Amino acid sequence: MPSYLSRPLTVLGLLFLSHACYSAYEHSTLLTPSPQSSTIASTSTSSPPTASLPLDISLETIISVIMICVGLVVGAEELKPIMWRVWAGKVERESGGGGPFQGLEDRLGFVDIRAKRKEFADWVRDQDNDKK
Amino acid sequence: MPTERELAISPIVQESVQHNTRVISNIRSLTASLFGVASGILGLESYAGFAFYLLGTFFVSVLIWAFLAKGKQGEYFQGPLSELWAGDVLGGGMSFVLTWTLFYGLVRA
Amino acid sequence: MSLSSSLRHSNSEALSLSQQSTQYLQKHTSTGTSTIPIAFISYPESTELWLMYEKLLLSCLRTGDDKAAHLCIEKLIDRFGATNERVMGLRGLYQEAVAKDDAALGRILHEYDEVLAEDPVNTPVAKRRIALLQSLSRTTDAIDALTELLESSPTDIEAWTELSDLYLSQSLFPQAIFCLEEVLLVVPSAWNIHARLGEVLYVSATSGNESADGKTLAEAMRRFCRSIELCDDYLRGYYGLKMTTDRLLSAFPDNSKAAGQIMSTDNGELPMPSTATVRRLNEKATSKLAEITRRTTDRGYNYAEVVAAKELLDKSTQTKQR
Repeated sequence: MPSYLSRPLTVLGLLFLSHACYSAYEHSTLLTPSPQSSTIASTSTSSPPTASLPLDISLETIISVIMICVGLVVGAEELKPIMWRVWAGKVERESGGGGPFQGLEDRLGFVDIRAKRKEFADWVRDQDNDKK
Repeated sequence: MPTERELAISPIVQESVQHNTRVISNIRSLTASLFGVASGILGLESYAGFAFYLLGTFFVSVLIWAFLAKGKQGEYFQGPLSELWAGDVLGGGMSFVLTWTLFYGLVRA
Repeated sequence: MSLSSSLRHSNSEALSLSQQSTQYLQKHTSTGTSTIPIAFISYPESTELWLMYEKLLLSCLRTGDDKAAHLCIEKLIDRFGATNERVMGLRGLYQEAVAKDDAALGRILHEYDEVLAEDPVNTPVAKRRIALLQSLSRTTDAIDALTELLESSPTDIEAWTELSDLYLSQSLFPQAIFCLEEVLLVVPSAWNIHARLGEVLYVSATSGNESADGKTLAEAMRRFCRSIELCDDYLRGYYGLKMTTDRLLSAFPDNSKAAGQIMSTDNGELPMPSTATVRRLNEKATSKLAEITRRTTDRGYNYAEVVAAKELLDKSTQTKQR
């Protein structure tokens, strides 16, 4: 699953979840007996009003949770290989032959800047000649 | 756990290990609160709530295994069982209980 | 390690980097001199920023944009002070780059000497001095200075690798090999150093006389194997492995000689690998190289290296057909 789907999925899931939350709240307030009819209600219903939640609200909650989970996991940072071999191979390819030990071969502390300048000047000259 | 000799032959990249642990614990803490919200809305009580949490955690583990580790858990975790499947379950349990009670109280007030 | 890779940029990349430098400098100058207390609103000062300045300095010097380089060095001096060791090294670098003639370089060298007389453990300046000696083709002096530096700081792996290169340029192979082994003591999983050591061993085994030194070749082969073991699909390692095993197979075509050597080495040295092992390694290297060169388009390998590997493969198939 492509990772650009992660954010829309998570946001949509959060919307559904808040909707489900509000619905459940409404449902429970509707079921709570009003003060006037409390005497009748207490005799007719013995079970607590919170026991049953309509199926659609439960389903909405569960589906939204699944959506958010998938969104979070897909959008998470990629894991990095822990085996040196695999990790090094990846680093080597991604940086085009670099890696943390490349500095040992470049050796900035010992760079011969005059040779580098000359090399660059030659390169520029070559480019100009190619254009002509 | 590999022995010292094996580690010398094929070293482990500590930086990657830390990175992976961080990614997992981020996901865990976020989803734990999420499950708390859900079980509060659903009005689950006692054992049912904890069973819901464990079930959800397992589901998230499967998602991580499939999407992040791409089925090759050994490549990303030294001990896949403790780091991927059971990593941070107890720590997440705390935030689960917190949001669970909060939302249970909010919805059924 | 973005800094250490800045030298790997091709010339064109260095050019584009230095062309951006003026813009970059202006952007950061404007925030630096604003009258509002900047600590609250501006970017927090980061190590990356100063590393970026160093990087800019290097590429500006390389492309000959001395004005921008001067700005960079001034900023670094403003921040860290002119007596900071690293800044002193960079300032020396700048002066070397803009020096007109050999007399000016001589003066810079003299300055380095003075600094080092005051503070003998100023590593960046000591390194600049060595580099300058080398640039003036006084390699033996450079080697002497470098050994001195290594005596005071024996874990400086950058200096060890530099020394190894210097010895190599003088064809002193055992010394070059020893230096690289020292580096590997500090960083045992540096795959490119393993490959480098393999290369030096290979060169030393093949440069001397007609008959290639079997033991050194076998050692080189082991080094290449280790570099591959540490880094999946390491083109350089496979390339070296193929070269070495080709050589081993042509020098010792029959198993009998190698078997004799197995008997004779019982004083802790590793025995010669059997011909079958070498042949299998050779086949493995050949197939891996073929695989890497084939799928080179979608993976980020160094182009020149891939071309070289292709040539090696073509050559070996030609000799086989003959």
